[in-house]
Amino acid sequence: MEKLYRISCLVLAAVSAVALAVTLYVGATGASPVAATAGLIVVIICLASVALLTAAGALFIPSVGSLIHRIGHYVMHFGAVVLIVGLVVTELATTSNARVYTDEYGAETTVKGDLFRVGRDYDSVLVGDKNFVRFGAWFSLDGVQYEQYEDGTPKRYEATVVLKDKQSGLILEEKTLTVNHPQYIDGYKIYLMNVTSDSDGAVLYIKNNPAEYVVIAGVAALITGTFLSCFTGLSSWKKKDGEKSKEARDAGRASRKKGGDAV
Amino acid sequence: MTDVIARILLGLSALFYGASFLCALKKFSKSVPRRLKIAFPAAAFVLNGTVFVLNYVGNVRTRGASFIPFVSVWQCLVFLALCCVLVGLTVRKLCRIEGYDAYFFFASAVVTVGTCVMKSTSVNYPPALQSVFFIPHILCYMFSYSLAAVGALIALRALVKKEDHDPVLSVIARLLFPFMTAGLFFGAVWADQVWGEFWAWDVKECWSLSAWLNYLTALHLYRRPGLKKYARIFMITGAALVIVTFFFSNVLKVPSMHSY
Repeated sequence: MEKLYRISCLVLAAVSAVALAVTLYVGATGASPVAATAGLIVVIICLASVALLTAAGALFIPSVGSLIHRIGHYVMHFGAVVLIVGLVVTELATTSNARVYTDEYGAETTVKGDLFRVGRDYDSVLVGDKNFVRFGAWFSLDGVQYEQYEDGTPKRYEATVVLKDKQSGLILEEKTLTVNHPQYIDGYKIYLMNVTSDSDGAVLYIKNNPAEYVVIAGVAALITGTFLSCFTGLSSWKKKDGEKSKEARDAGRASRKKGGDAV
Repeated sequence: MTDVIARILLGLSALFYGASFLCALKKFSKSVPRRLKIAFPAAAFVLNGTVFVLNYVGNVRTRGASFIPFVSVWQCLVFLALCCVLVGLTVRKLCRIEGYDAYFFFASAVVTVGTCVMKSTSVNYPPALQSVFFIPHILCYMFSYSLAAVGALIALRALVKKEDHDPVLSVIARLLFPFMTAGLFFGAVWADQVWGEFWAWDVKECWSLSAWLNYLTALHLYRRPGLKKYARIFMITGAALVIVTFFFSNVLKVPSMHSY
């Protein structure tokens, strides 16, 4: 039983490592967001399977406790390394249409995104200092919706963006953006940051982070590993340290001969 | 009207949490009937839970949106008091940590008194919060904060009375840390979805990272027999950092992306 458990974990770890490598490669080259997403899904499924196996192992195989603890330990530290690598690449390689403005006192303000007007067709967007994102078609803001609560605070922003054929003007692709739900167009992730009060424009933040999936995979591994590592072995505490703790407390109390106000 | 009812319920709840705390003290524990030891926490929990449900119903009635009431500090604190009891019961059953109920009831009582005193705010559900990460992020943090509060109380006692509570503190740190990790990194992934970046070095983010690093250090100290005794200091500083994280930007009105 334990052997089967170990082999399953090793197979899952191997599949997870291969999927992560594919995700890293595809994500870094920006070749295919679909392949990167698929790779990430495989990594997450593998990690979830390891978590399920862990739970089952902890329940039914007594000797598995320390093994799970060790595995969790490795997964957690491996996740931390992947996360740090992902964040470094994110910092170095992300391109976006955010701009930093310096005022007369030297204070820097970062403004994310550009204002796009409804009904206008855009050929390109300036991303970074020099690079233009040239969409293969007209990029256009088709509509903006803005809902608010009775006291005037925002309730919902929504914007529809379309890609139109340059020759015929036919809509090739249509995406609805809301806050918290960015969309991918031509490998770029597009965020809805704000809308104008007259609902004829929206501020869109356009970003390409080649290490996005690496960061998410690192986060998933780190969280899974932390739970595996920290939550296993608590049962052994019940039998050993728990008794020790109680004894130690009682011994401590007796030696000081105080008592009375103990919790 | 709802506000007055909520305050009365919370006041009563605080009283019952206080009574539960006294009943759990070893000094009175033997003389108090068993049914009272169950009745007081149960009453406190039901009253506290009623306020939580009222907050939820209030959201649905006034804003037409069924969102979990975690939107303001006050609403979070109402849930935090519930969490202390829930976590206390779980810890007691799963880890067989007995004789520490008083700490959990004390933490709940203090938090409930706080909710009675502070201004109850009921705010709208802004677009930035309408995310799948909202509930797991807050839930994980509330679980970890309740354990942090209890851990600090036990560590404080261990320091003052020079008692050995390290095994229990170690278990609390091990229960607390995964939830704090999940809360922190769910928040980072959520930030990427809403603001387009995982980390913005915002004042609240920095303090929460400090708290996480603090407990990370405590966990590593517990792995070294010679250094265990220093970990209790980190359990106390951790709770202090959690308090700063939770209240600093809101109470002092420091400009932050996380002000609510």
